[in-house]
Amino acid sequence: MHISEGILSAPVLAAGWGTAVLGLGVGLKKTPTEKLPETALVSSVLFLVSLVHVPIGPSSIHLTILGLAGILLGWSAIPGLFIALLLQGLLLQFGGLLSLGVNTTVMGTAALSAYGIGRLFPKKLVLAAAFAGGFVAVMAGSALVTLSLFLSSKELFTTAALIFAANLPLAVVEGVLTALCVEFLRRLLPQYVFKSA
Amino acid sequence: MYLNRLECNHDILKSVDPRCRLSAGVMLIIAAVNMLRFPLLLGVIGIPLMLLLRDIKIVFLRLIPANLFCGMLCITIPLGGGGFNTVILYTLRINAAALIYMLFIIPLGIGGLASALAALKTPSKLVSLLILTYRYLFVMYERVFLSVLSIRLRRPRQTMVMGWRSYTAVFASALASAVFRSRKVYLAMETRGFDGVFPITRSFKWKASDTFAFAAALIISIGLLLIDTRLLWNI
Repeated sequence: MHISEGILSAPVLAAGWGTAVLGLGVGLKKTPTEKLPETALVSSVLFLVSLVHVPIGPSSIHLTILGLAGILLGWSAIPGLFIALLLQGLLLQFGGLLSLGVNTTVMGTAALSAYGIGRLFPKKLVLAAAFAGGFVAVMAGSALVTLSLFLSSKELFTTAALIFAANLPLAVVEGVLTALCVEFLRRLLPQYVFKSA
Repeated sequence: MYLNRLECNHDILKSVDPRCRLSAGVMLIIAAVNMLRFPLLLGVIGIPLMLLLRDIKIVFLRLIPANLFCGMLCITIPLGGGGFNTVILYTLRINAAALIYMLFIIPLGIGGLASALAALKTPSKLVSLLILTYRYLFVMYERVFLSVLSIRLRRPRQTMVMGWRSYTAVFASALASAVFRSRKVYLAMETRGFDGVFPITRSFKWKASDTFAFAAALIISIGLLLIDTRLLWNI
């Protein structure tokens, strides 16, 4: 879902960095030092999960796991995702330093929307909340990617529309898998689901 | 999937201060991704970089994922009425940026990168998070991928829903083990005197050669942008 280096225009990159810095400020403030290892380990697992191809029909997709990041980490998801995206850019050449701001904004907003929407549901409907969180996170993320590409260049409109359309089935799969993961984690670690600061 | 480590076999800028490398790399990337009129000039940056990096196999392996996005652009931009010139421009920009990363930033390694970021006044929590995430990425990599491999070997032809359930069990158990392990990690860090800053983050001494390297990167970046905007031609 994140955008490569060299695609976005300078104003979009600057706006992305501005928003990311604000989000990082709040995220770091809400992440105490003793929570750093947890944020790092959960972010590293989420990074790895996003590399696994999950079967869907005759093909396969790789997940974004943004909903799960928001549900488990809350505001700490923003610094966690920032570092994961930085490492993804350096280790796998996906993304880069200049587009890191936009990518962090996109993914951080998506994770926070999952966290916020999930918390609106009553406690009994935690699985529905997890599905909604996973679904909304992908849709919010792809909407922001589409907007960033469209604002950068009109020639990228088809690319942006295609990304948005391609993410619709992913959002459903992501919602289901987020709900299944939350069902597992709720039994094992109930204090971590939708409880982060 | 193979996860590259943050290192390069051949580092021609070894003696340059990591802060200088990081800032010079960023300046050159800014120049590379903002060029509009003379995308071929990016070749002027890219080709010598490839020759300097020498280990062409690693360079190409790293360029493959960077070019996946270009593949998509090759289809979508002409579909949207754009020309192939635009596709070439984006492809050259993406590859030039990737090559600059390979020359300036990736060979720094995690220690150099973390130290450079700390020296450039990045919040210490963020630097600690970078070091911890990098370290445990490779620990959890083994766990996640061995589990995924065992699913594929045990049940190569499972239905989609069965597959989802199996993968979910792997992902969720990896997340749970990450949370459990993080408590032990923090205890270990605490007993070793961790107070929010890792001892890996060392200090540097800025040398005259660093000033020269920084100035050269600045001049090249500004020069490329001036040539690209034809400002230099009017002087």
